[in-house]
Amino acid sequence: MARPRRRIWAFALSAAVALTFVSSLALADGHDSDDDTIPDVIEAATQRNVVAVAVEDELSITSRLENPPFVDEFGLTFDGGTFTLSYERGDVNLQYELELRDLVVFADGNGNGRVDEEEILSTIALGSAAFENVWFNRTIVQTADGGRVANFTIQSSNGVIALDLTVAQRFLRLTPDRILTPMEVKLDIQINSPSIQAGQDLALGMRMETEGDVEYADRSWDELNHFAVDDGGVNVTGGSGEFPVTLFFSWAKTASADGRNVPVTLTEVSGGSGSYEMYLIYSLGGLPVSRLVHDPTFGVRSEAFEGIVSRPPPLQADYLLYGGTLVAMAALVGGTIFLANRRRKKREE
Amino acid sequence: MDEEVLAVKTRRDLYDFVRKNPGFHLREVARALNLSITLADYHLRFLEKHDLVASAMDGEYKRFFPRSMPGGAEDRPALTDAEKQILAFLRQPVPLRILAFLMEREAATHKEILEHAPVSGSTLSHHVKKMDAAGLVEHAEPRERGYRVADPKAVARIMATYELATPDQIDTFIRVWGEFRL
Amino acid sequence: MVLVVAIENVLVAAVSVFALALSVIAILAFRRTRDVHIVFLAAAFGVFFAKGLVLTLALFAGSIGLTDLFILSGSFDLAILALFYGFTLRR
Repeated sequence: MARPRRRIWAFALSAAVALTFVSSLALADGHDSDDDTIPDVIEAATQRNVVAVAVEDELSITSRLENPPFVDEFGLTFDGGTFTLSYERGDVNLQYELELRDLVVFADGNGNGRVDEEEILSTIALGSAAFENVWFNRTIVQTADGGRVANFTIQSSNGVIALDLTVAQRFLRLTPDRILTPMEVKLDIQINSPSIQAGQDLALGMRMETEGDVEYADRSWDELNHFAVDDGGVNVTGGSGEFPVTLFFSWAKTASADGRNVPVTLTEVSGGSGSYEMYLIYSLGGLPVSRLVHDPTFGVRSEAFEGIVSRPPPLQADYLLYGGTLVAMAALVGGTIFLANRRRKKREE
Repeated sequence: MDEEVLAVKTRRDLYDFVRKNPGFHLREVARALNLSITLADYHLRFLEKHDLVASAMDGEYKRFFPRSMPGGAEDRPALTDAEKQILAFLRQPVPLRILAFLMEREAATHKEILEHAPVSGSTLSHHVKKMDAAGLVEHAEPRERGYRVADPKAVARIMATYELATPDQIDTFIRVWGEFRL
Repeated sequence: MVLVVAIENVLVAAVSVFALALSVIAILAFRRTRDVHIVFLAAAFGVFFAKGLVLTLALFAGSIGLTDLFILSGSFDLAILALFYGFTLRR
């Protein structure tokens, strides 16, 4: 190619690249003012009204989508050691009860990764006995990120277990790896174990009661949607064929034992016909532990949210981007005309 | 721009002017185009000789008219293959010079053309040979006289009709869209 | 995660500029040739430019439904293509 023509192409190409760069900056920006990777438009559309009330040792959280296409409401209650998560969407509703039954210290002699009856060394009962006559502490803060964020803490009467619940109006960034969606209630469990010897492991015994179908998911809904990493859970599905509803109880696959990361696994879910027993096993790796922190989540797979997210986003007028493009295009057109004319004049000489 | 090519441009302006303003006499035409009367007369004679303009006496004034009225079918016809070939050569700087030079005279020898073209002898031979093969130029009678333009009327018409300078964006637009027809 | 796409701004601005440039070239071509048929072309590109302006207005003035957008855009496209086609029919 003759040199002047190559210059015209180089000019046109660099203008196109500049234009792409400018527009991709705008794309990358995506109007995320609280920097939690959720665009403001989505946050506004999925915002919920949260009413959270604690009376003595009873907690009731109700969260309803502010601008729904239909009724989308979930609630979490805590009473006497049992959580109840319920979800109502239109005509469909589903719930499960999760009882924190006991804490067992065991030694996995046969290495089968399960808590066998004969392996249990000691049991601390949780449930209603542990949470009688203790009260919730409540704080509500207004944050730029999550809107109104409500936080509830309660400690068992024997001081062994402390529960910390968090619920937000909007998407809330908790850690670099974890974003709390408005369809979830975060539970932080802190276990202050009096004495766990080396070689012993800890397990949290739970009972779940629900009419829905219970299934273990190696990757939780949060992980599948990039709100969490290394997260597994139990999904409870129900509803009708047309409107399937999914609730979940999920947890991070690592817990923190005295600052050390330890793996968390679920035993096989046993039982059936509405009542299921399971253990979350904290494999302490042969070291004694005095304090363990783990963060499960109660959540709802919200059709409304997924409908909003999958809906084509509305038109977004942007003066800066528009004006910038006008200028860039005018420069491109003007530049190519100028170069073409210069090439022509050179040829005429 | 050397004289021959300049001549081509002047003739085109004259042709355009007469086409758009038929019936003007020599002095008016010359004045409109800022040419001396002698020069205007010379070029208009050339145009008339090649059937591009017609003149008619009106008492003491000689008035000039286009050969076909604007808007007529001959005004801007689709190009024949021969015309396209002529145009192809005219768009190249060296053949343009050669043809413009030849158009001014009956015939010219290789040596004579070489005096007016800024190329080497072998380059000139190359171009002349190509134009000969294409039928644009032919050997004059007798052969010692050199070459002459085979169809001066056709070449004159093309020269007068089309902008031979390197087309700008507008010209390209016209040319491209000109072919866009049913 | 869903990215908010603002590329509609880039598209509508680019369309307007290109259409305007082509309209101007067409008008200059008409002036040079005095060929009245080229007015069809100038008109086609002019309508393209008008379409860009109208879409810009729709983008910045607020919500426009998908149906309305379809009808608007389609009407402009029809006019543009009709003008191009008319140009091909010239003698």
